[in-house]
Amino acid sequence: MALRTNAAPYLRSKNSTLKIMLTLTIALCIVWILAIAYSFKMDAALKESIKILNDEALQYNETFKVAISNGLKEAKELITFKPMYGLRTILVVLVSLVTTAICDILNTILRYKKGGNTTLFATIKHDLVYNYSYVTALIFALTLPAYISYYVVIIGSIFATVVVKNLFGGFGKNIFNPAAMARILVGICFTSQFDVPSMIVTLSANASSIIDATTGATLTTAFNNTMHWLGTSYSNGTSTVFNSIFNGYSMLDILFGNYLGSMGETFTIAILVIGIVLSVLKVINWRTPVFYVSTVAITAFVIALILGLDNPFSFVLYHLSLGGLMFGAVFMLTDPVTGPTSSFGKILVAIFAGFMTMLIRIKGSYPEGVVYSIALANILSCAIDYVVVGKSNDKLVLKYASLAVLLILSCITNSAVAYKVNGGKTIYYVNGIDKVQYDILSSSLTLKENDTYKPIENYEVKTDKNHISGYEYAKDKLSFAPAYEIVDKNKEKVGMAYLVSSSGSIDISGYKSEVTFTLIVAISNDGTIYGVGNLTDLTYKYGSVNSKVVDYAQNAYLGKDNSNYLTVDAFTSASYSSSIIKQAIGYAFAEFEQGGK
Amino acid sequence: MGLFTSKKHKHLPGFKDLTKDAEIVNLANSVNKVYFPTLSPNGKPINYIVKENDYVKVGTLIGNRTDFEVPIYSSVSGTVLANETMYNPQIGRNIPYLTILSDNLFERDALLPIVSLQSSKEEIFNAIKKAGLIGMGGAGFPTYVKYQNTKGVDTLLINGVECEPFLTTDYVTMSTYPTLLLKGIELLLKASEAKEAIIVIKVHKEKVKEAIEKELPNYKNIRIVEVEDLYPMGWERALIKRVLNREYDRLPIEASCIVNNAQTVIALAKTLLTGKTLATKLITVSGDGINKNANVLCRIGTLTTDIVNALGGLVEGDVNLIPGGPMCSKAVNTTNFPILMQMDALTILKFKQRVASPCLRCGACTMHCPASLQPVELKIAYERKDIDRMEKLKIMSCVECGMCSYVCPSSIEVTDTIKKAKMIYKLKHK
Repeated sequence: MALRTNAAPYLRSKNSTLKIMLTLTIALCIVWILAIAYSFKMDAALKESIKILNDEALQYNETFKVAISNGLKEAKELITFKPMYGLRTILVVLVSLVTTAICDILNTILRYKKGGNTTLFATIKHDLVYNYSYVTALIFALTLPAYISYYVVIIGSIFATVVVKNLFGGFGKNIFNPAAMARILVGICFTSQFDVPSMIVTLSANASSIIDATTGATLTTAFNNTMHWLGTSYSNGTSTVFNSIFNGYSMLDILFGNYLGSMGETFTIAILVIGIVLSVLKVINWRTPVFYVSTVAITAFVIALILGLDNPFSFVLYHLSLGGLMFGAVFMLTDPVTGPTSSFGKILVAIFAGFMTMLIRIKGSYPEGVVYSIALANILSCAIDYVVVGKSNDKLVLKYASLAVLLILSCITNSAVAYKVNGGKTIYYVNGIDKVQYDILSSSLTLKENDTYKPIENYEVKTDKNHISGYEYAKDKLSFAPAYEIVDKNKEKVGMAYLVSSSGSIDISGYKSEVTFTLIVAISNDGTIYGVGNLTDLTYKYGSVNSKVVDYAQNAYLGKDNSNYLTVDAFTSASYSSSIIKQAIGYAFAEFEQGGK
Repeated sequence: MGLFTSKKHKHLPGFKDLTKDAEIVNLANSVNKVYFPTLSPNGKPINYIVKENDYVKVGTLIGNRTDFEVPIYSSVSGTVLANETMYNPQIGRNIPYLTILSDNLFERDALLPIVSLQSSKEEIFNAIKKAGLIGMGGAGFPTYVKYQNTKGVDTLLINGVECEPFLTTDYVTMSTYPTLLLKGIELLLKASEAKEAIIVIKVHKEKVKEAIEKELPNYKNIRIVEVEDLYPMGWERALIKRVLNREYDRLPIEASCIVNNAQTVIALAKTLLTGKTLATKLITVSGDGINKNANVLCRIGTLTTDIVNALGGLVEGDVNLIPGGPMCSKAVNTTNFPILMQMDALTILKFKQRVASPCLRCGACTMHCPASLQPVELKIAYERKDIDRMEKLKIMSCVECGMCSYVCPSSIEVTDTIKKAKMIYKLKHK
């Protein structure tokens, strides 16, 4: 028995760093499991796609050969391809975990001094648990896509553990978030590794919407590279951009992570829920993610207002759900080691990071605005800790004012930059109409410069079908969708656009298929027909109908000679579709005559 | 709690059930020797007027403090022995003690003059001064000083919060002597000319609340306020902020109020109304390091060893013996020290080995600091011996409540580090 005189107090809370880190690890593992589930779902979709290819190869041997020569190169490879992304999602994380563990063991061996109280083995065991490199490994690996090469994972993990963490003195001493820095490194050095493999792109044409990859870039990269995270502009002739990026992805798909991207970053809603749980459990400080996300949301909203976007709320949602923003907010920016200690400092850094995220997204050339802004926030943290002195309830007015100023600065700067990037053009960012309609509208409306269109809400079909004379149309098959008013730069109406859809079967060189045919007909005030839509197939997707088809349809409607166009595209020669086009245009024209003027 | 300001308090496990309803162990009728320190808590000497072999009775004036006008009265009857040297937990080192060998007869000396409600303000004040009482909440600030200048005082706060874990003496005393408490408050109301007195207790202290409320209709201008079970709610600053929503710079009088500990008021009422000086003290002896948990009634100056032995001794293995609550007081390496008037507990806990891990910089200490300081930054400033930064971080506002160490997930001795920092800061700013 002895009376010990260790330091007061003698009661301690049951909370411990190990407990905090283990909770965080569990949270990350949940994200990991969700990513694995998505990858297996993707595998299944890809297998389905391969099966369809196989079946077709058997059934329509000749046609399939034509299809292969038209675009599906390396058909053999495609048919024998075995998608393993579910397994890869597991392996990429494991590789990262093993690499960081090996780095930690080597670090302990190099630093180990003989003659201490503990054996080398015990020290290694201690360091493996208490250096918390597994958290770093999980965070880093989850910011990578499943199809990344393993060597990229290994290089990133070594960089994170050795350079960013252990060289600074290990856990608690590092200045930068190791995972964020490693992600930046591999993002810069191995940019092409983040592109969607061509195999997935090709197969996705047949797969269900969860892998609707039409380009090699992920959603985030494409949004960044082609649009600088802004809306889409119709006036400069690139009207299809927004559509081609978000082709097939509804807002729900994006919120629930139903798209290709980094493994852990996509399932925004799940990460949000995990973030809330972690905040309630006091594992992370709620101030950081709340102020970071709010800053991005407010800034995006202001940008949307300044640029005159049609639907600012969905613009904000895109910004919050893409590019791993929620993942960065919950798991990376909240890393206490690399952030300020005071609540005020945490909030200041969070707003600053939100500011930088938006600036890098709009103006920077890399899509990873989140990790860059986290690195910048890390740099600022030390300075903030140095400046924030005195009591935490001192100078409250000054503190609130400085936060407000930073937030306003973020809105003003980003809006100005966005305006500049966009060249002062009005951006049309349409939401709320269905994907196919959007497709057609954006790709086929051949408008004059500075023209635009706006949907007429609650449009009712006015045409008295008996009134139309001279046109035969398939009464049962044609259906009317919303109509649109075309307005010029002076906001004056120059015409109407109508959406007509129909379905039926077509026969292309012996290849029969059910098709959905959707048509957009734009008619100017003087009665000139401007545009016509495209054809979607249940099995194959053809691109937009080219302008010659418009001419073909117009000629068909006007009763002109169409023999020049018969070879334009395989399906335009099909008798059914040409008559449908004729009927549809006629129908739209009748509608125009009735109520459009 | 604001966006940036700290929470300032936290619910701690109370461990109050260990002793709050346990039978009181009475050691007041038998004691071998009692000891009176020759130094005040602030290190100033105490002038003893009795000499070796003098015979004293209970209530005999044996000395005076030199820093304040606080008379010291004997707690036993018996013979004065030669000074003995032993440990003093308040000063933190061995000091000589005036030693009195008790004859266990506890014969009373002449009583002090009695006052009543009809007495004038000055009479009551003089009686308070003469009673020789110091605050029993732990700090030991002389009670009369608070009533020297009562200009502008409108409220009297009676602190029965007892927010330190394990401690139940306030609870027991208040529920046993509600009449004395209320009478004492009436006297103090008169002495301070305050309009109102508020008895502050924690929620769920039904026994205390019922006992007081039964008597309350007979008294004017006294009410009870219940506060949340949070630590450190009993700290004057926190209490005044919570109950009156007032803040002050140095002393509560700046916020027009006086704060007194409930036990002090009861002891004062006893002394003022009967003329008998305070000779006994109720001490909570609790924790998992001692075989029996109980409240012990003992003579002031009783040796801790005697109390520990009376409760079956310490348990096997290493323990922390803490003269006071487990949050604020520092463990000592001996049981060989006497019970002082301002002490209200002995907490004995099994020793737990704690290994500090690297600072996570999570800011939990900053989040919870009752004084709104940044303990983690102070710790870093101490490690760099950066006195200027300590100044900027307002180091002297720290009250060493122990909250930062309590909440630290990395088991870092934050409070202890800041105590050391305060020491080097004081050395540089002497």
